[in-house]
Formats: sequence, structure tokens, C-alpha cells
Amino acid sequence: MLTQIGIYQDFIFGGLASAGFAMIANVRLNALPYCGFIAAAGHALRYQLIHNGGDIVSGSFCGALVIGLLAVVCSRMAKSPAESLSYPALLPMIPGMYAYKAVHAAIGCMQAASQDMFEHNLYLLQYNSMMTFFVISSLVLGITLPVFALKKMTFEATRKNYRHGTTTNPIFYKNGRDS
Amino acid sequence: MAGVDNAERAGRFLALYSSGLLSSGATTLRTERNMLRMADSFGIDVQLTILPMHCEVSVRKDKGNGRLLFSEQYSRGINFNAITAMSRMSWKVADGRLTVEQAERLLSFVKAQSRYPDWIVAFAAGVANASFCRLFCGDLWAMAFVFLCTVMGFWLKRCLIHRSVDVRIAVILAGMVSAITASGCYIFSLGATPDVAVAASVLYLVPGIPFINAFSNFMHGHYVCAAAIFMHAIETTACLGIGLFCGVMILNNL
Repeated sequence: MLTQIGIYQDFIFGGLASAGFAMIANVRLNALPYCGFIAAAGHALRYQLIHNGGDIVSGSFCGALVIGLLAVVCSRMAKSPAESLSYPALLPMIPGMYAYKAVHAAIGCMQAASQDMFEHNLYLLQYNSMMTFFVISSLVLGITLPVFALKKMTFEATRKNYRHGTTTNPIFYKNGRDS
Repeated sequence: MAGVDNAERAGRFLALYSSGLLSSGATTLRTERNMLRMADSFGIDVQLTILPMHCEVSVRKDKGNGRLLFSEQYSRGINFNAITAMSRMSWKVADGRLTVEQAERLLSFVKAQSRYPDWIVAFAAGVANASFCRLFCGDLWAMAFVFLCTVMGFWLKRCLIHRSVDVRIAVILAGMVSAITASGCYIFSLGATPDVAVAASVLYLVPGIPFINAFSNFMHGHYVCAAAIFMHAIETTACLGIGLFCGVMILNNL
């Protein structure tokens, strides 16, 4: 499907799609350019990987990993939580087409006039459901790993006068909640 | 903080805060962290139980009697602006720059903040979905029809929800209108990718953020919450599938 557009178009339209979907989710105006750029970078990487022998699941994982890392780094600059940048950036990679095809196949199963048609639709239902599950899992895993690796940076992005590696009051590190 | 009354007030605020954050689409991980850092600052012990429709906060101060406070989650759509404002608020409270009373007022203010105007969001949704169509190799005609059908479907959905129509019915009708509009590519034989236009026409209705939230909550051990959000996302996907199916059936029988 993706062979007809180049990486530049993938970069531009991936970013545009993310910024538009970010407005539906009411992301702050100053964070929209970050969403667009992060999504464009992640989507272009996935495009490259898929066109160089990778599959959609591993490509999505790598794209999401880059999105997660960039979101954590940019969240301080945008003064927004990392999720408000990474989640809209992930939306163009959500396998909506697979999810839609799974529902379509389920309806096909109900309307099947013969056993062959039923089995064909059941196969499509299973395939598309599994792809939806694996792609979303890889996306979430990809953006979650940077959050775990850079936990402090992630959760202190919205703190005023925050400087990485410092803390003003040790009470916030009680029970390891913010460590 | 002094006295049980203040602890109860702080607990009530924390319950409202948690439900507000979850209702705006925050993950359970962020909700727990933000709430616990404020509870530390208030000097109270709290336990947060997140359930699909509401939050329970049990509050105790200085090993005294505990109180159990509830707050219902409400449904006003994903709102990252509110999540950002509430996260900033939690740090202000944790850094001792806000009292409970000030935090309560700020929380009411954040909840009352307006979103982007509907026409801007509808336009942005149209551009986003048209871009999405291009990512699936749709041509210019397909992109133009996808833009049009998205704006129409999005506007219809907003209008129906404002009129208190059930959100599932709104999704079905929006999906149906979008699919019928996108079929213009087929009807008028415009462009080479009418199939992409029809398939991409309803993708703006796919609940992407709930899907991500469900998996994220699952990874952090909030299985009940994850299952509830996942089922809700599946339900919405099924509704848009039904809408698309109805639209195609109507056109086939014309």
C-alpha cells in the first residue's frame, strides 16, 4: 500500500495527520508543532524500515520508540506531559484500517451464505484482529520504554523551575513515588 | 494541614482531581503519581482505587480514622490541555505553592476551560483524515472527498452529542454519512482510488487514544480499568463499522 508515496510525503502527511488529530484531543496550541514533528519523524522511520525488509509490527515498535524518546525530550520545551505529545503522534500509526477490516469481516461472517465464505471471513477476522493487537501492543511498548528509562524527566516536565537531576524537596521522593 | 476536617477536604479534592484527570484521558500511572505527590504534600495517607466509572480515595491522617471518598468520572472527551494544566497544578501543590482551597478553585477553573471552537476542530479533523488518506496512497480526488466527508461527519457527531444523543448512535450516523459522502468518488467516477476514500472516510472515528490508554493501563497492572477502556474502544470501532456498512448498503440498494 505504501509503495506509491515517498518518504518526504510520508514525513509531511504523517505530521499533518498528527497535528490535526491532536486538535481533536485538545492539545495546547504551543505543543502542536512538537506533535507534528515527532509524528513525522516516527512515521518516516517506520516507512523506511517497512521498505527495507521490516514488518509492520517491528517497524511500528521502532517508530514508537523514537516518538517516545522525542516526546520525553520535547515535553520540557513544550511544558506539557510527554503523553500529550506522544499519544497524538502515535495516532497516524494506529492500525485503524486493520481494526475496520476486522469489524467488516465479523459482519461478513454473520452474512456468509456458504461455509467457504464464512471460513474466509473468519480468517480475515482473525488475521486483522491479531494484527491490530500486535501493532497496538508494539506501539504502546515503544512509547512506554522511554517513560520507564527517563521516569524523572518524564514526570517532572510540567514542574516550574525544574532542572534535570535536581530536586528541591526530598519529601517528593518518599516511597520511591517520583524517583 | 491540621485536623481531620482538613484531611477530609483534601481527600475530597484528591478524589475530584483523580476523576477529572482520568475523564480527560490520562493514564492510571500519571493519575496515581500526581495524586500521591499532592497527598504527600498535604501530609495525609491515601489509597486510590480506580474503577471504570468512578474513583475511590481512602484518606487517613496520623493513624486516625479513615474516610472513604468517591468521585464519578464524567465523559467530555479526551482533553490534553486539562491534563497539562492538572499536572502543573499537582507540582504547584507538591512544591507548597498552592493550598487545598486554592487548588480546589484552580481545579474548577481548569474543568470549565473551553476547548477549541468546533469549526476549527472540524477543519483540523478534515485535514488530518485527508492526510491519513494520502498515507494509504489515496489520490487528490480521494483526499478531497475524505476531507469533505470528515468535516460533515465530525460536525454531525458534535451536533448529535450536543443534543444529548447517545454517543454510539452518533458514531453510527457519522460513519454512515461519511461513507455515503466518500462514495462520491465511485458515483461520479472521480480519481483512481475511490476504495481508499471510502475506507479512510471513517478512520477519524477510530478511538486511537482509548486503545493506547487501555494497553498502557494493562502494562501498569490496572487490568479492570484497561479491560473497561478496551471494551469501550471496541464498541466504538464496531459502531463505526456498522455505520460504514449501513452507508454502503444504502448506496448498493439505490
